Amino acid sequence: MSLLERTVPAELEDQVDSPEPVATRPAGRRAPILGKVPVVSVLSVLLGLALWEVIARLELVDPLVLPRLSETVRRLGNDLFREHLLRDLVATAVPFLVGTLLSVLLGSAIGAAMGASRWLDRVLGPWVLGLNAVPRIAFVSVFIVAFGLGMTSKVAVVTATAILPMVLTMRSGVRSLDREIMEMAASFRAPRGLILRRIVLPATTTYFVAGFRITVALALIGEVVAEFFSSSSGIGFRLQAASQTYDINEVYAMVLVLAVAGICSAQMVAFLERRVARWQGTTQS
Amino acid sequence: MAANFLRLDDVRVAYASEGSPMPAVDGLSLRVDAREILAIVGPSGCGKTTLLKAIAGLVPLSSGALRWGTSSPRPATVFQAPRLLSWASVIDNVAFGLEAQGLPRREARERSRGLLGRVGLAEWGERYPRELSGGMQQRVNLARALGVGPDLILLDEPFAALDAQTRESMQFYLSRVADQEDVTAVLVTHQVDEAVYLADRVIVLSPRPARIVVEVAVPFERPRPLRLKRDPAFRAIEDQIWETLQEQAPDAEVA
Repeated sequence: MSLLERTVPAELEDQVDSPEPVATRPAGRRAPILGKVPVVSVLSVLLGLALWEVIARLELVDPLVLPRLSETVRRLGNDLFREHLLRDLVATAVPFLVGTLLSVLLGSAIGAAMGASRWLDRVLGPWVLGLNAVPRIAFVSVFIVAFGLGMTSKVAVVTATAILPMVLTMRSGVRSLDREIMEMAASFRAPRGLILRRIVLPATTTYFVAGFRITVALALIGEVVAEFFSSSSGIGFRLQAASQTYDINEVYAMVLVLAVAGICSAQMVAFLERRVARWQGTTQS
Repeated sequence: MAANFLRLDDVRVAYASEGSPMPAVDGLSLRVDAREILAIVGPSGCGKTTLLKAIAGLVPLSSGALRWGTSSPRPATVFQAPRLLSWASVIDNVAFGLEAQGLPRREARERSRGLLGRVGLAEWGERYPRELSGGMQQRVNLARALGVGPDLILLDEPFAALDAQTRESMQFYLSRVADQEDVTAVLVTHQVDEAVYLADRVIVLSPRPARIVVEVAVPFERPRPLRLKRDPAFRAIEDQIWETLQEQAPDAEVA
């Protein structure tokens, strides 16, 4: 039986202060998947591609340095036709996705733990700073020896490359938690799980998304670098093989694929950010 | 009837992190009777809030003991700032206290709907804290604490941030709530009139480390109408406490 399950005294009713009603949350309209792509961005890309074709056609630079865009696109179509492009895309996408997932899960857990415990922060801090300073390529050979040439070593390279932004942003996120709110939760003797769900996760969402954005970008680079060393398929492998035989058209074709993949994944992250921003906008002061 | 609800025996609280040799509370003993409202006033920084947090179990005692009259005390704290979750709706904020007691979310929200009605915020459940005025936010804070059915309410300057008119209506509301239920309350406040209006006993603390300077019984029957504050007998008690308080802060400018 709670105290407040009694009627409010009538005298209070007119003493109750009421601010002007504030506009309610807009009806739950979803953020569009593709944000408005600015016209100048599209124009910029189209102009750049056109410039590429014109410069190559006029042979203003050596065709070995810059082949025609049309040639590159033809090669791309050829790759697609011979079906290995699709296989390469899958070969790249799978370790990239697994490594990204691993980075996000492990990284946010480690970062949150470091943010919550000063002791753990001191223990792990030097390792994080140390890892941050080393180009992750340094570990590729070690991972190949340890895990072989398959998926595992590539996932390991991707994770080593992409995990730190998650660690650092989630560490900051947990550190930024309002101590007064945490004390309030303690005063109700709230269990850990409830504090995590109702306070820590919602309060650190913006940090999470910021880390996620960088992690996704780094993971793609990590995957391509891993394929340079240890693969028989994948976009990075094709890029490496083509470079070694000076198959410049293939090099540019793969660069195009990577650029498009990068833009697409960034768009997906931006979509996520807009969802969060919307949600934050309606709920945070 | 005035059974001991809680006794503080020689309580000492020193913050390890502060590195200051002077503890916030040093050797303080007092009793809280069942169903009474005990007000604690004292100069700023004298350790009132620390004392309250020690009772709530939010800071550990360096020495001494809390001796509870019940086997399973259920204290709830109303902080000075509302301390609401800005990302959660008003109803979810109230439900948080109940969820912390282990109630499933659905039930907690159901109960919270009723609680909000009792503090006059039935229409505001789906809004967010930033959409509410300070007084309304503080009522959400109160509903969250009272919702868990506490037997001891700890109030830390709960109305200090409110304008005078809202503060008085909240004081009136709190006094009604306290009368309606079997509840004990400890109220820390700066406002002498608030202490005298709400409390059965007022304790004046010295500057840090806090010790009890004087204890004043407030003889008026509860519930008390707000106009009691204009009564000469009320004013006399208020003056007595105010003067004691001034003596405790000789450096402070006496207006």
